Amino acid sequence: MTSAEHVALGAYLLGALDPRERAEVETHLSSCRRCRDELADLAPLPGLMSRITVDEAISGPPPVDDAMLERLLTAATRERRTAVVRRRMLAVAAAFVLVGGSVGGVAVYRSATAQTSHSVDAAAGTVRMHVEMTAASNGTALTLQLSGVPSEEHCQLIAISDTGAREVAGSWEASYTGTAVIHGTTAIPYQHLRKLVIETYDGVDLLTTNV
Amino acid sequence: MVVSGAEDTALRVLYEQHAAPLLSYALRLTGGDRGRSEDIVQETLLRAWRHPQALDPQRGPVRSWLFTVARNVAVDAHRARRARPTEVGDEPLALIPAADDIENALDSWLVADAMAALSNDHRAVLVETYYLGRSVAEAAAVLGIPAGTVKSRTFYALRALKLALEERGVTS
Repeated sequence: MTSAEHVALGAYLLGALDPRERAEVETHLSSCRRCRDELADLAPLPGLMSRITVDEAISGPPPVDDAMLERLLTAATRERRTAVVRRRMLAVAAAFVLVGGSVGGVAVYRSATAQTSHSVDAAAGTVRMHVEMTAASNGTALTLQLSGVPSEEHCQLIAISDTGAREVAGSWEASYTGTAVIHGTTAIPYQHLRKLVIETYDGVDLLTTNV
Repeated sequence: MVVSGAEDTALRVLYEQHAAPLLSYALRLTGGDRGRSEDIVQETLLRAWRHPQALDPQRGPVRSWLFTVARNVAVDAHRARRARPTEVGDEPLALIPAADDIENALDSWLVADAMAALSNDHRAVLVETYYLGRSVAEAAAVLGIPAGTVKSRTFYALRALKLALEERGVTS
């Protein structure tokens, strides 16, 4: 049923036949519809195969191991614990706000007792931001809820320390409508973080707030 | 304290489904740095775990979204390192593959995974003839099998590869 020419199609497709055999296959193809269909069916494969190197073809994709999973689970546990602390801090902060009030359109909800986490709400023009800052071992973790940025705008979050050092803490493209949640990190330690700026890639300041 | 049961399971499922392709992609993003790549995978999966609503397939292909997140994590990490002048040896940001390369990167992992699913014999003839560019006669000599067997095995290896790719959702 399967002719020698048919079986040679694979080597033909991969360019492994010598010129004489190649000519034979081509002659056969001109008169065999089944082989032409088979060839058309297999034709996309060399293009896909070219996506990987010979090493990847031999060894397969890089393996993941259990140690990676363990680290992931540990990180999630740590994060859940932080979230519990943050909720407690926010409860304290909410109580504080009743006394603290707001300053010039920018309400600063900062707990007098919170040492590792607090949040700030700020607005400028149409842009509104709620940001939670949490002390992390390597700096400060930031979770931003943002709305009112023109869509398609490429933005970045800049963190500024008490010494004036600036650091990009996150970047994103505003392809959303409504509210977006962005996670960022900065190497600036929590207690030294003073200001956050949201600006476009062109350097247009959309919002600046003290934290 | 441990992560509660349901969340633990959700994270394990995420890991099993996506850690391997993400690691493969992260290695491309970092130029093969395994440590940084593992950090990228971890942060990406944690973000997915925090936002399970983003994993709803109705909102678009999950793995493409995860690759996009991974790329953003890599770019952020790169910028953070660059902001600290004491750290040396950093490549320019332009070396991080562009976002529109994500579909290609997805295919790359799927091809590598499909190739790994082939029998050793099938994989060997494809490596010799395609990746190493050997003729049927040369491959026959290297593999120690008749030339006719190289030809038929190449044919059936391609059929098996096509099937393995289709099983992974790659249709052409």
